[in-house]
Amino acid sequence: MPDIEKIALLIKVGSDVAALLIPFLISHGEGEAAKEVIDILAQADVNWKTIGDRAKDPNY
Amino acid sequence: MRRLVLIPIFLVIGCGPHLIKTAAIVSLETSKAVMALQEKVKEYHDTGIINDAGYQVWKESFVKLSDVGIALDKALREGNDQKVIEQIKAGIGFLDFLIQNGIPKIPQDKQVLIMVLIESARSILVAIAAAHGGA
Repeated sequence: MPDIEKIALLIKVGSDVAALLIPFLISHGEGEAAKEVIDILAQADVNWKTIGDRAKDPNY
Repeated sequence: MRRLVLIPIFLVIGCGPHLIKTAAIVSLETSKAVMALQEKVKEYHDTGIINDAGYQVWKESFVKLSDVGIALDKALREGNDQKVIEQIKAGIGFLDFLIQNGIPKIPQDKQVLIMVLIESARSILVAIAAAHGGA
């Protein structure tokens, strides 16, 4: 299987279980793993917001 | 019977964090690619390579891409396939719009780098769309 398909498959499964798994991990003492994922998503959120803020800034 | 129930639970516990992490990293990497594109276009504007009218086209598209990225991240976090596909289609649409309308505002000798940056962001989005059955 080409790498791109493997990555796509991983994303598919990851996305499907995300809503269930994060609270599950926290409630079963795997808070560190859940926190790591949430932190990565938070970084992405910050980046997306920064892109919008810069674009709306007349001085940028 | 009990074994059958336990297998998926072990699969989720064993693989879950890595799989979710992959989805999270993809969102982050796409945002980095778009940020790099935004910084390069600003540099071209600051140095007079792109004029004000041309830069405005890019700025408006970055506002829309930002909204799409935030919504995509939320959909990935919720595991909502339909929303993921909707946002990816919108994102690809804006990038295609930039190829059609933003690229011509840049001098020909600078277009290749910008095209590479756009394609970088676009290819990540297409990979996610494929994963969610939307390709």
